[in-house]
Amino acid sequence: MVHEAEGNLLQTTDDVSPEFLGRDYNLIIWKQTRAEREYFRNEGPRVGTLAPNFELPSIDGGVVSLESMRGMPVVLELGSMT
Amino acid sequence: MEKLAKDFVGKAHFPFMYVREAHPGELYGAHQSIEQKFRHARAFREYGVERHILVDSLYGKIHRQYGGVSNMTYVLDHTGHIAFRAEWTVAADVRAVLEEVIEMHETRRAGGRVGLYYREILGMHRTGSNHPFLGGQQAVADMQRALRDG
Repeated sequence: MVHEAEGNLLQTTDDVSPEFLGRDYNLIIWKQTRAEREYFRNEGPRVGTLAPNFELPSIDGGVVSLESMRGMPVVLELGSMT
Repeated sequence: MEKLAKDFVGKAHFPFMYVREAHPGELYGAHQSIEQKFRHARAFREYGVERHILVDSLYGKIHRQYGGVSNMTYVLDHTGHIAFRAEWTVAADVRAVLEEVIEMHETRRAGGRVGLYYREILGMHRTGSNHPFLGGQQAVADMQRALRDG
């Protein structure tokens, strides 16, 4: 069951660019991702800056914020099953 | 990464954020609903992932904010600042950075001074692995086609 606090998880993508992160975010097939990598290198949060905070639901229940992990290093991996 | 997380229990947090399927197929396809995304995320337990698993929004709100590539890692220091980021996750790289971050923190706590320098490095990973197989035969075919077509 999805937690109530996940209400914003279904937000639309109307304000998103570039396209590969917009309406086609959930890929149907895998594609070469040069544009993605350039986006990451040029637009993603940079070394030395404060990591953007987030609050996300855990599969074990509850919502976890990045800020709550301050005081110890954080290894944040973002990935998928495939 | 699981071994790394176990080696640093009590010394670092290791959240894993589940984002879109990079190589969707008939077994793990593109997410159609947040409920489906949660089901997929829970399946990581069956593959031995014991880290804290967080689920991004259906359309990748946080994933996009962090750069949007398929398997990236950030290492943050004790204050939440980014010490390392990579668009591909290699446990050995992360381990080295993490040890350095911890050493830097301990040095400062002991009254020592540290200097910082900036560095960039281009890493290598092998292509054509069987990693997308978890998505199913479609995912394998997609990768083979992409490799063939360049």
